[in-house]
Amino acid sequence: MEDLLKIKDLFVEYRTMDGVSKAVNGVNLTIHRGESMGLVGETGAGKTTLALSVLGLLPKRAGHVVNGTIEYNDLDLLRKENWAALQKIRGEKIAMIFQNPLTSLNPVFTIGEQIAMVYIQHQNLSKKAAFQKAGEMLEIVGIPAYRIQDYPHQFSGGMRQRVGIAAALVCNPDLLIADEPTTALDVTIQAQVLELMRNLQDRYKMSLMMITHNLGIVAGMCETVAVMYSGKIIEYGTIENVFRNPAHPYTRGLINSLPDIKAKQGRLKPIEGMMPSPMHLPLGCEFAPRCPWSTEICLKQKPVMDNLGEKHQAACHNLATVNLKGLG
Amino acid sequence: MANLLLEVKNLRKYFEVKGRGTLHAVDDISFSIEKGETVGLVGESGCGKTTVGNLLVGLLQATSGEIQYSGRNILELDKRERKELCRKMQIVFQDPYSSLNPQKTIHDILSEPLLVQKIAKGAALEKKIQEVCSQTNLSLELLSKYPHELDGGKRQMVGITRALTLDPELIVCDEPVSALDVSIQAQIINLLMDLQRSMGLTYLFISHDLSVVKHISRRIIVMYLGRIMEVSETDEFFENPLHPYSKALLSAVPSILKGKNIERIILEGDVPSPIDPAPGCRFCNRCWMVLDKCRKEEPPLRRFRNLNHSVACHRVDFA
Amino acid sequence: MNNTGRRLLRSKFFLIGFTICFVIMLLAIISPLIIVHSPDKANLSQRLRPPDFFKNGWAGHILGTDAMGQDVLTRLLIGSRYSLLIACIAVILSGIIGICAGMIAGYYGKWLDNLIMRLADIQLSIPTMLLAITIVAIVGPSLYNLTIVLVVTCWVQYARVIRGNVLLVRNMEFINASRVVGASDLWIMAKQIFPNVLTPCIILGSQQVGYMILMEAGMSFLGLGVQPPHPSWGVMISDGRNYIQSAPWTVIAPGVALMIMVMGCNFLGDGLRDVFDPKMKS
Repeated sequence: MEDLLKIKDLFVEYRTMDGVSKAVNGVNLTIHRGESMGLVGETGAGKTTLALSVLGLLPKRAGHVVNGTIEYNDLDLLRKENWAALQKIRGEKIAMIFQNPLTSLNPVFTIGEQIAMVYIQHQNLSKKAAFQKAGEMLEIVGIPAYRIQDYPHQFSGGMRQRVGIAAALVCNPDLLIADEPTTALDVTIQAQVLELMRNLQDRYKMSLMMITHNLGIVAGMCETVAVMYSGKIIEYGTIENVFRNPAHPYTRGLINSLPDIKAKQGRLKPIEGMMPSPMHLPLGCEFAPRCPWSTEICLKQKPVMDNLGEKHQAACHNLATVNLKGLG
Repeated sequence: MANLLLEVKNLRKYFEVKGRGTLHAVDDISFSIEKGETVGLVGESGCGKTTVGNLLVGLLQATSGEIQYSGRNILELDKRERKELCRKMQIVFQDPYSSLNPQKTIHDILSEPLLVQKIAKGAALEKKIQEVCSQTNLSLELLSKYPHELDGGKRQMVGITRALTLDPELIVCDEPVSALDVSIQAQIINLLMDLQRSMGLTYLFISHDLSVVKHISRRIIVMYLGRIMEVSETDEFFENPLHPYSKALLSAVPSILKGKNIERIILEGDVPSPIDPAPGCRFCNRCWMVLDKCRKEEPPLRRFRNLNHSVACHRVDFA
Repeated sequence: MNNTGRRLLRSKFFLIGFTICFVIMLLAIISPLIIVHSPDKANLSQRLRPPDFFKNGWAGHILGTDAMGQDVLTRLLIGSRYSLLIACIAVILSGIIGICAGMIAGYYGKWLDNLIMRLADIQLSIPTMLLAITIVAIVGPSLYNLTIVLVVTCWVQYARVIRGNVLLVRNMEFINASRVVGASDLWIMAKQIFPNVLTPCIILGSQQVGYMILMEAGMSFLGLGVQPPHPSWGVMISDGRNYIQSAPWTVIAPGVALMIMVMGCNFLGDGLRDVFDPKMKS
């Protein structure tokens, strides 16, 4: 599969009055054309920061990319010289949808205007043509075209999210980044929106990066998954590999601690402790303080991603021992 | 049944919305809870489950109906008796951030129920606080701290500890883990289950998350737009959901154990407005099995065969 | 809480304001003990003497004398006691009334809220000076009546601010938590809501002190407040207005004192707000 987006050695910090928050600490990730990848992790793991970095949407004063490259079509999106190119790519080749459908739409414009704006800006269409296409786009995402004159507050959460998706797909992007798109939605509405995204991904043959803390969603939507912890990718592989045979202690702990509708579970096994604050990261492996398998080297040295076989990698010093003990 | 702790009969709560009509938040629901069991109350936003919880603990006044607690209708109690009842029924709120007063220390937050109910003062109060903290394993060091110094999980533990200070029999858990991080959810769920075992508590567990409800509840009640659609024992429900809405709900819940190419039931449209609802079944505009009868006549909650399983649907074969 | 202390000490406004207010308060309290001359006995042989500053040391007329021969500095110091006393009492009383009104309006809402807020609106639409003159004309000028007028005109500010804050807090779940354990409305208002609205009260109070002092000065200037022979800054300015050209120090001294005090109060209020408000918002 062809490489679409290559993130190499990315380090991102937030510099605030209270100190420096290391949000992303050395991420290497490649998304291929047509691939749907899940990026999972808890709150504070750095997933949103990673997504914002791709599109240059980090908060201007606080967010700093300290190291690394993000290559799209051999163009490093992080370099200042490529700023103009990034502007064009953003929305056209790489699009993003956000968690809160209420705040990501402008309340004073109709949804038709907001979608048409994208056509006008990126495809230079006339106003009439843009509105025509906007109506078509709305039908594709399941919103009747006669609602083109309605304002965002007149729609329910699920429908607003569809509008967001419509706006994102106007230019038929190569990659759609979805940051917790269904977290704020009811379960049956979530199912509708995810189904829509599946269909659209098929139809437009685009790559999808699905950011969520919900492993079940990733299992239902994606081929590959990257697990993030404290700003690092600690495990990566196909869904089967990572969820059936999780190698990293954190991934295992996470799967064991979540109630699942299909599982026969006795007592849940929570992971003790908490993710370290990005302002005070430990010296060695970030997960070591909570890890039941940690050894001395874990506290001193940061592990690197090891290959476990075809399409499965994990960053842990003790992979052998962890895997011998079986799940849980 | 001597074991019945709570019996809700034909409970209704309507709100008048200016200029738009009457909002039927809870519309004629009846259910019961036995001593020591956990009943899960599930549904999506607008189904009325939180309203039911609020009605039970007295945060809202019912429009009509009965709530029988240990045989007495609590809606007919006078002020003094109602205040006494607070000792029996307590609630754990969803939001660990707004459910603790930011200006008070944890110690003060835990003392308040005891002071309001005039149960203990001074040394006796301190003793009671220590006792209840040891039940939930809440470190005594945290007593002098303020809520903003604690993380979400610890705050929720404080909320649970507070609910226990009055030695209640029934605790309404209103989405207690929904606002917490996934890794903390397990800790709180385990805590709630441990407390139930050690203290013989009864829970009404309100949640939209079916995976959590499956884990913790013995029976499950499904609500939709203010009405009960299905009541069943948990295992039976997940193996054999009868109501179309229940099936859609189960189909929609993501799971890492579900394959990718499974049959999915995707509902059309949105939840209709609970204001002045149309006659007939509440679910009829989204149901794929709808008949004319469903639009005209509201299906009653009927027992299915001889099981502890009831459902309100015209399309179910009750034979 | 340690953190708050540090932030307060870092705020320049707070430090300057606090120092000014503290010094003036201190002087006001100890003034009877340190004054050399009498504050209210006329000595016509000494009238309108220009300031000696320190030519005669402490025994001389450091800031000169006024039209009745009384030492300006002495009257300034003693006058501060009246001004500050009236201002503080008025702030506290109007605060109590305003807080109660605001709490009830915000907590109970509906018709009670409407009633109280309409009363407040009516109050605000009456010009303060006009109201003051009317009341004093009916009941006569005196310290008590002056204080009453100040209280009646100033409770509204408190009521509005407190009501706003109560509305914010009223729907928080910890209020529900108190209800569920059986707490009465009074308990909730006193123990749960009040601590959360205390901060804006303090900030408003410190700003109001400055405002009250100006009001008192204005009223006394018009002869409606502190009566002779008692001094107050307003009275001093009033007495000295005929001598602005010939003996400017009789007006400048109380004027500058007034300005410094009000500025101090405003700085104090600003400093407190800068430290506490952002925390309140988060």
